[in-house]
Formats: sequence, C-alpha cells, structure tokens
Amino acid sequence: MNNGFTPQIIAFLCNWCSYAGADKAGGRHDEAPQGLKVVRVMCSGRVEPRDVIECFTRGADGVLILGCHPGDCHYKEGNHKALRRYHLLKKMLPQFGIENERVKLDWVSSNEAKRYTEIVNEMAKSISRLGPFNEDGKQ
Amino acid sequence: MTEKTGVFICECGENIAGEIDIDKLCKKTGAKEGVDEVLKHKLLCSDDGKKFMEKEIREKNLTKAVVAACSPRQHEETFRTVLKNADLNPFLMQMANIREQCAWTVKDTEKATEKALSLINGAVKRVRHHKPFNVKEIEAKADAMVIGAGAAGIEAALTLAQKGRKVTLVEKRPYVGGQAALYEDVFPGMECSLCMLEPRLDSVLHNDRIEVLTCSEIEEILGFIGNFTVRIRKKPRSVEPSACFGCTDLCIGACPEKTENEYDMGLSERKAIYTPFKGAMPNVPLIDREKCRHFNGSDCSECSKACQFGAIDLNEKEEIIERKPGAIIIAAGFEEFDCSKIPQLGCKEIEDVYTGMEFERILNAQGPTEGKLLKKDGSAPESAVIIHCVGSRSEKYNNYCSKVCCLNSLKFSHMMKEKNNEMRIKHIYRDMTLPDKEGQKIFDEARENGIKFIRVEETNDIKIEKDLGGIKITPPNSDPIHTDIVILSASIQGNSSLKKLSEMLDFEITEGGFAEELHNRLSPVSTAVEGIYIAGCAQGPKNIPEAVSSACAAAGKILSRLLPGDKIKLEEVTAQIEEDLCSGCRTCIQLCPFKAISFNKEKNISEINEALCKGCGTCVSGCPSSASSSRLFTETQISSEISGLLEGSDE
Repeated sequence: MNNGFTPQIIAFLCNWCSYAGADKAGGRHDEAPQGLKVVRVMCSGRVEPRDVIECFTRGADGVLILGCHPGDCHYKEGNHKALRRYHLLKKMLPQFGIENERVKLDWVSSNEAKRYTEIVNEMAKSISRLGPFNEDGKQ
Repeated sequence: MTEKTGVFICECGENIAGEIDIDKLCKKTGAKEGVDEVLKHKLLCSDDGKKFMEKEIREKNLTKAVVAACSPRQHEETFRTVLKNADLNPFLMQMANIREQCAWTVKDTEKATEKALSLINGAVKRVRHHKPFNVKEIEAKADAMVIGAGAAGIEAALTLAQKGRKVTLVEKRPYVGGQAALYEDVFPGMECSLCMLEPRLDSVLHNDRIEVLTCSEIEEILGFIGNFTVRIRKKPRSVEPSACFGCTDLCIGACPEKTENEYDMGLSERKAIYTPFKGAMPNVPLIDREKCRHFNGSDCSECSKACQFGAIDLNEKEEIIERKPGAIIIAAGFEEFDCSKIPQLGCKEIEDVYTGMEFERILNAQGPTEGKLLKKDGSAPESAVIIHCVGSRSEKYNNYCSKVCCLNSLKFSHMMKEKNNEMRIKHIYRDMTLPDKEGQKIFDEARENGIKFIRVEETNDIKIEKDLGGIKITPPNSDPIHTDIVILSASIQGNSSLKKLSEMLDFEITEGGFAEELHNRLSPVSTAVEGIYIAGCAQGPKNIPEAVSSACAAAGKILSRLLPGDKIKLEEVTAQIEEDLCSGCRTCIQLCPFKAISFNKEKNISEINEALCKGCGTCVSGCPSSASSSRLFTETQISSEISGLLEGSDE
C-alpha cells in the first residue's frame, strides 16, 4: 500500500438502487473511502465509456459503476446495457493505458447498504495496491 | 444577465456540523471559482431554513443555487420548491450530498471538510450548465378500454363506469363472463357460477357508460397514456340484437348445419347459428360464417325464414371501429395447458379421459350431458381419478404452480360425490396447494368424505392406457390404478391473444404467456408501458377473487392517474434528439426500453416521444453522434461535475 496515497474514485450510482443503497450506508455511518466521489445518474445505462475514460484524464485512479441487480432495473433493462458496454470498455481500457482493475461494474440494491460499503472499500484497497493512475502509463 | 451562484451549506443540526468544520468549509467554498455567495444555515429544510434560502436568493439576486446538505433523494424536491417560490426555475439547483456521502462516512474532521469541499465544487461546476425548463404537460383523455370481458374485465369496467368514466369493453367471444361462465360451480363455496356472475353481466350490458363489443378483436393500438388510438375488428354477429328477442329455438332449430361446439370443448355439437351455451349473455345467437351454408356457396336462409322478428341480418359487414381511450386494461384471461402435449396421458385419444375444462362442461347442467355424469358408453362411472399438476411445475412444460387447480380438483371430487356418493375418487398429486382461508377446510372435508389422495413424485410421467372395461393409470415406480374416468387437472397459462397485444404495445411476456408487470411486488397491475394495466389471469394464475381484486386495482390506477380535464405531467428527466446531429442510425431505437423512440423516414432522423420517455438516458450513452441528450444529465453537466469533483486531486 502506498503511503499517503488517497485513491480518487469516481462512482457512478444509479438513482433508484445504488444511490439509495449508498444513502442507507451513510445512514448507518459506515466508513467510506475519503477519495470516493459519487456521481448520481438516473440509470447505470446512462454511463458512457467516454465518461469513464474522462474520469482518468481528470485525475481519477479508479471508476466504479453501480446499478440495480439484473431484473430489478427501474428502466427494465438499462443495467443490461451498462453490462454490455462494460465488457466493451474493458477491452478498450488497455489501449488507453488503463489497467483493467481500475474500472469495476457491480450491482447494489437499495437495501444493500452493507454490500455497498464492502464494494467501495474493497475498490479503494485494490486501487491503493495499484497506486496512482498516471496518464503516461508509468507507475 | 450575469450568473450569480450561491452555495447554501446546511449544518443539519449536529449531523453535518458535528463532523465537518463548517466555517472552514464556508471560507474555502467562497474561494472557489464560480462561487459568488456562501450561506450557511442550521437546518435548511426547516420552515425557517426555507424562508432564509428564499430571502437570500431574492436579496442577493442569485441565478443558480447549490445546496450542500443531505441526499437529493431526500430533499431535492424541497429545495426545488424553494427556488420556485423565489421565482427561479427549480432546475437551476444542484445538491451536494455532504451528509450521507461525507459527514457520516468520513471519520476525520479535516478529511471530511476537504471531501465536502470537492463535493460542493462538483455541484458548482455542474450547476453552471443547468438550463431552465418546464416539465411538460400533455392533454389526456380519462376514458378507458378494457380488453377481455371475463370476471376481471367486467369488474374493471364497472368500477370505472361507477366513477363516470366511459369504457369500451372488447370481447373476442360472443358472450360476456369469460371462462367462469362455463363452470357449473366455483370453489370455495361451491356456488353456482353463472348465478353469481349474472347480476354483474347484466349490469355491464345495461350500463350507459359501458360500450360492450362482443365478437371483437384488437387490430392495432397506437399512442401513449392519455392518448391511445385503438382499432377494433368487430366481426358480424349476423343477428341484430335490438330485434332479437332471444327465443333462439326457431332460428337454431331451422339451421341444417352442424359442427363441434367449442364452448363445450368439442364434446357436443352446435348449429351454424348458435348460442355458446344456454344462458349466455347477451342472449342473442350468432352465425358462424365459416360453417354457415349461406356463406359457403349455398342460398340457404332457413334461420332468416324461421325468425319471426326479422332479426337475422345476413348482410351485416365486418367493421373496423376506432376508439380513443386514455388508458387500457388488459384482462385477456387464461387458457388451459394443451394436455395432448404429454402423449402418454391419452388426452383426446382415450375415451373418458377429460381435461379440467372439459370436465367443467360435463358437470355443467347446460353442458353436453346436461350435467349427468356419464361415460362415453352411456353408463354411470363408479370411480374417478383426478391427476394434479398436468403441465405444471415441470421444466418440460410450464415451470410454475398454477395455484388454483388443486382447489378446483377438490371441487370436482366434491361435485362428483354430490351426484353419486358411492363413487370411488382418488387424487394423484405431488404437493397440495391449499391457499387462503378456505383451502385447508375443503381438503379436510374431502378426506372425511372418503376421497383418497395418492402422492407421487411426478404426475407428468404417469402413463394412462385403455384397459378392459376401463382405464389403467400407472404412476412412475408404483402399482397401476384402475378407474372409469380420468380428469387431467391442467396448468393454466396466459391467453394466446396476449402475445399479439404485447407486440403492439411492447410489454413483455413471461413464462406461461402471461403479461409482465412493471414490478412483480410493488406494481403488479401496471406494465412497463404507462397507461397500460393488466388484470386477472392475464398477469398470472389467479382465482376469481384475486382476479376481481386486481381488476379493481387496475381501475383504481386509471381513476387516480387520469382525471377528466386534467393534463398529465411528463417525467422531469427526458431525452431529446438534436435533429442536426442525428445521422439516422437508429441505434437509440433498439436501446430504448420503453419504445419511446421512432424513426422519421422523411427527415431520416430518430424522434423521441416525450410522453413515453422515462429518462433513463440509455439512448444518450448509446448515441454515436451525441445527438441524444438527457435533460439534467447532459454530457457537459456530467463531465463538469466529474472535473469539479476531481479538481486538485492531481496536486
């Protein structure tokens, strides 16, 4: 673990499940990573690969996309679209010099506060292990 | 006018102020680019806080606001209202969640303060790109259409009509009452089904606000909530209801043509002019033009000659009727599983093996045997076996429990015992489904009456063969059972017409051919298409009270959603397509889960119907030319928020 390194993580949370789950985790006063910054979107299907790449160009070290569990999407199947894009994005990441582990998609329902906390903290740990993202690809 | 952005920081009592250094946060926020005023308050969502915010917006001439407080899921609407009260467009505000996302989750005050600052910065950079807009409203008709006139459809129509709504009730069959009208008795009370239904059928047929279209099928449905256009194909009955007195004997008696009666499941014959069963309502016969000699090359008009009232109209034409309801309830009902898909059960092959629906007709006083329990050879059966779960709970057929068939099977044994108490009756079952208040009681009574229950592992693997003087049933790994008659208690599945409707309306069909609900727990009568509701067995297996309840629920949805004269508000967040940027690739059309996007051939672009758009933004992220944008979640807004959140993180 890098000393003094606070990984900057942008988390795209869908309004209906994941953001609500994050609210509940907040309500429980679950500790979350200092560098975790949440961007609320209506649906995980709204997250563009370009948004993810942009996070890295703006200084993020990791990106999380959290949506409703498959079958529970408020918009029927937006999360399925997110999953499809995620697989494509994963293929593109190395071409931008971004390690695969820096981007993660997962599902958090509105009552999975504990799961939310586990995912965000695990992400921070994993990014800490990787170290800061450097655009030039030099770690 | 120059933009002036004010940041309102809420202390939320000690919730935020206890964990974040508010004074330091105010000072640092004030130093951020794009921040003109920083204002703090002890509790911004309180009456005092809201008045404070409104006053500050006015006095300081703010044009944009950032509220750093709790979750937007909790108070976004509250602060939008404050903006509205301060004569600002409510959407010129962005919240920074410094409570759930910061004060409560970052333990160190200094770190929490620092994080709060970047969350505020994200909101400040974002709100810069917020543009004022008004939530659109559209005209909406409050009248409704109900598809299917079974127990559910009738209840829905009556409930709506009671509140003054006009209803068009569309029924494919020539009568109202649906499947339940074909039963003799219904569980749990073993009440006469038609006697129970008749008063409701009568009300529906004599209600000024309900237009009943029998022999009618949906041809096309266009539009959206408040504004549907439905084209209905109304087939000719060939008998004029206003002239027909319902004597039925003369015209039917005169008809020389015979065919199978589908309403007796083919167990009896009917004429080409017929009523589905005695007591069918409306009590007006109809001519089956596929079978009628007059329509098949002959000049027969015997029925017309026999009718003393001139009610027969051989020249009646098929019509396409158009109606414009604001909402539609789909109550298309169920069908019985086709038991002949399991060949070793001998359905339709072996005499005296009946499906549940066939047996309903055998027991019915208006049915093929006039309610007498007789074998095909005319003798009275001494024994019967009822086989449960036929086509149910099996991956090969319908992999769900139909919920109503166990009690219906117990009804059969009860009715047989009433006809002949000496009859030996056995149920072969896997598990007994006995829901609700009466279920267990009916089962206990059956056992007390000497009815036997044999449990087997899988009823779908039973072999049924003709045996000397009877039927031999061999359950897997068990000794054979001999009986006189067999009843296959089959699974129920969605009416096949649901498939066509689902294609017209773009709701999904689930296993068993039922219409998929918007949310199987919280929105069981809504579909994903706004303004389209489902009632009765169209949604899933139901007994009559459940079907009726769901019909009331669906009618209630319409009564509360569509009020006469009221416009309906559309979603706040919807997507728009910029014409000049759209290349007409139609990617978005395939992505939209709500069929809100259509292709304009003339302009060669995709267009969004905002009345259908729910604002998920999936089309926005899928558009290769950035033509589609989502209100309140534009590319610029999201990207500015990201850069604001990450500002200084490189240092």
